[in-house]
Amino acid sequence: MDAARRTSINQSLARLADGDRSSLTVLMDELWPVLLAFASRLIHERADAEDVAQETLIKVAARIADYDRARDGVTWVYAIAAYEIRTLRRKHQRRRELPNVENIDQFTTPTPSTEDMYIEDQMRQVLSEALGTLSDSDREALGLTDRATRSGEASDAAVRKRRQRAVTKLRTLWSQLYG
Amino acid sequence: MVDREDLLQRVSHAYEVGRWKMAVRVLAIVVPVAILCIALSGRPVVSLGLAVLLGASVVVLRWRNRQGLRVANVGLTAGILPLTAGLLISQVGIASPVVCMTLCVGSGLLAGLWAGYALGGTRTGAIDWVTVGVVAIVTAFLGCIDLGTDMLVAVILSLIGSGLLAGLIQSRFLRSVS
Repeated sequence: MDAARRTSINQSLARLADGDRSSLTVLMDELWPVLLAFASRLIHERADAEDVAQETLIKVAARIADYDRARDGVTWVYAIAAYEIRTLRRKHQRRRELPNVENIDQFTTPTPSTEDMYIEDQMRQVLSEALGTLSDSDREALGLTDRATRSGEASDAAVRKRRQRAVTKLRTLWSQLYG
Repeated sequence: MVDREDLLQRVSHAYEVGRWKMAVRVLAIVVPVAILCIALSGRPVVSLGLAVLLGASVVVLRWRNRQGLRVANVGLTAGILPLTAGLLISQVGIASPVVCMTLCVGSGLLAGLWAGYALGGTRTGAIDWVTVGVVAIVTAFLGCIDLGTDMLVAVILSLIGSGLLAGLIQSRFLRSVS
């Protein structure tokens, strides 16, 4: 950037900071190409570079009331733009860390993997072992025998109580066998 | 592709919001001082009115432009001294009218000298001088409202007189230097 342009931008910033609203358009026209070029050098996507340039312009306008004339205005604007670029990169980084919701189906295929099948088989085996240690009446209460269908002879409250007792027993056995 | 008009509108909105945010920061000083004055005042409704007038005027002045910001800050700073003197006189209970008058005139003179000194070194128009005077007087009134009309008049006259004198001396001095 040449010295004349830098001086012009600094003057526009100072006028805007003084409260001259008419210099807003001038400043925007002066800053836009500078900011876009700066952002484009660091961000390859044109749309992202435009977003950064826009956000920077908005931030400059929002903070201009506290602008310190002793500092170089262009450097101040570049500092805000650099912060916006860092923010955009962080946002992209976070997006990469999250799974893509649109392609989530490829991770949840209906056919289980060999590992999944082995784990499921093991689980079934240990569960049947644990159930095998229960008494017939407990298994009946859990609805695991044919006699369960005949439980209508007892009252609902009694069936519930028996089922609860059977579940507690199974839980205790499970924790004794597998921790 | 960026819509220029839409962007200009957003930038303009952000600019105004930023200026308001900067302007209202002065309330961090005005509000506690006003609450103290209203709490200690014998005429709280009048004090409340003065506080609202002062708060609104300094916020609008600071929002408008940088010159307004300076004018509001100088007026507020200048008015704090007579305000404090007024609060002290009414709270300590100084009975002697001579002592009260001396304190009021003294604080008014110092406040005026300070305002004249602060504004005299820069290019300031008549409207700015009047605005500083009004802000300083309203601030001073917040503390001096219970002292009576003669004390209020003494504060106003001493503040304006010394302010004008300090401003004149400083502008003459600057002219002779240049």
